[in-house]
Amino acid sequence: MNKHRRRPLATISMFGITYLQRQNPYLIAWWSAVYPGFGHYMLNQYFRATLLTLSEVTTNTVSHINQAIVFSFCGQFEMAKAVLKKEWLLGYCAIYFFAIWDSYRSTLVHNKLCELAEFENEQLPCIILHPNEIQYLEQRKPWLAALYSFFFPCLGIFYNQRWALAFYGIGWWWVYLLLSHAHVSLMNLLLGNIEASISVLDPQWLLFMPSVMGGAIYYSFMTVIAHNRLYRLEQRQHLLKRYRNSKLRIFS
Amino acid sequence: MLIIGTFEHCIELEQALAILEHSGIPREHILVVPMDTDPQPPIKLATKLGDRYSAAIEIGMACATGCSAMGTCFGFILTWGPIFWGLLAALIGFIIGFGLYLLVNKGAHRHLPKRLPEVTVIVQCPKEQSILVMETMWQYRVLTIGQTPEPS
Repeated sequence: MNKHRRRPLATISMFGITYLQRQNPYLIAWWSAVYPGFGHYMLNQYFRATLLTLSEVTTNTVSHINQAIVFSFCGQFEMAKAVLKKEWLLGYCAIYFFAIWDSYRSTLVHNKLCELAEFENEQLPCIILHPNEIQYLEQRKPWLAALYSFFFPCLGIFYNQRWALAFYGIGWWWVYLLLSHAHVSLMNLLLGNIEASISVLDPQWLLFMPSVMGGAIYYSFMTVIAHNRLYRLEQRQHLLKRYRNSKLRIFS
Repeated sequence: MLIIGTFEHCIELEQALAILEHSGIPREHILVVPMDTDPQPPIKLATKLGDRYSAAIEIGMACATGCSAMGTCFGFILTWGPIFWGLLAALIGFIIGFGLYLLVNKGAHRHLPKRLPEVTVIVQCPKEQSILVMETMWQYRVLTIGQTPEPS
């Protein structure tokens, strides 16, 4: 572990497990299109992904993109044009498409790096003890992560031990819930007050929610699968090393 | 005696091995063979996209999210409102993505049972110890156990 590892496949920090993984570049590009930054989360590039999501939520809100999308889909094109703030539009588009392109391009590079790391087969870490945290590779159930993220997005990420990202997401989900009044609307819907349930909603904030929920479910599901594979690989490396001097003979 | 047990990759496997070593079985009398469950080299398993259902769920979630955002928009002019239509569109999108993927990739993957013997552990021990070895294995999630007298 102390020896310098040139091409490691994964590393463990107090924030969780960071790893290289083969992924489909089109899917990563799609998640970037769903919400700029999500593609980079799937690539384990957490800081830049977080900055991209912050940039997205700010510029989308000040330029009223989500409201314009709702008006456009409902056929009210004049309203859509009126509500958009032109000062922000071109810059928003530039960053939006850059995020898609950059995550696509990075996936291609990561896939190559991942292959090299696999051939290198450096010993994987399995646990770290940090004064404030314990992080380790562990086998988990992917569907459980998806289910938690469905009930409250980012709980599945907490299940994956990426606690800082989980709390960042949980905080934002509360913001979306409060500003879009989605839970109030849901309760009205369940009580049968359909008109009230529609009129209470704020489209600008509501439209962030399907993307965030879908992204959180997908990300937590895929992360469990990746962690399970890393766990298996680490155990294989360990067992082969520990029992390589076996003198057991099956035949005399 | 030779005791042969098969395990999945799990923390209990390491617990079982630790207990066997501590109960006096020398490390040289234990042989651990990781088994491949896939024709590809084992190293690839670390990152290869898994079985066809998780790949289908992946595509399904992508479709669900797209459809859900559109359903939410349309919901503002439909009777039941954005929340209901958002959720319903997500469900429909998921079923379409999931179903189409399975349909297109029909028979492209091998069907494997849920629990696979991923590691085989062979322990050489005197006859008196064999019960202890087997009990330890049963206690720690062994899948199957076999025993055979030592070759002489």
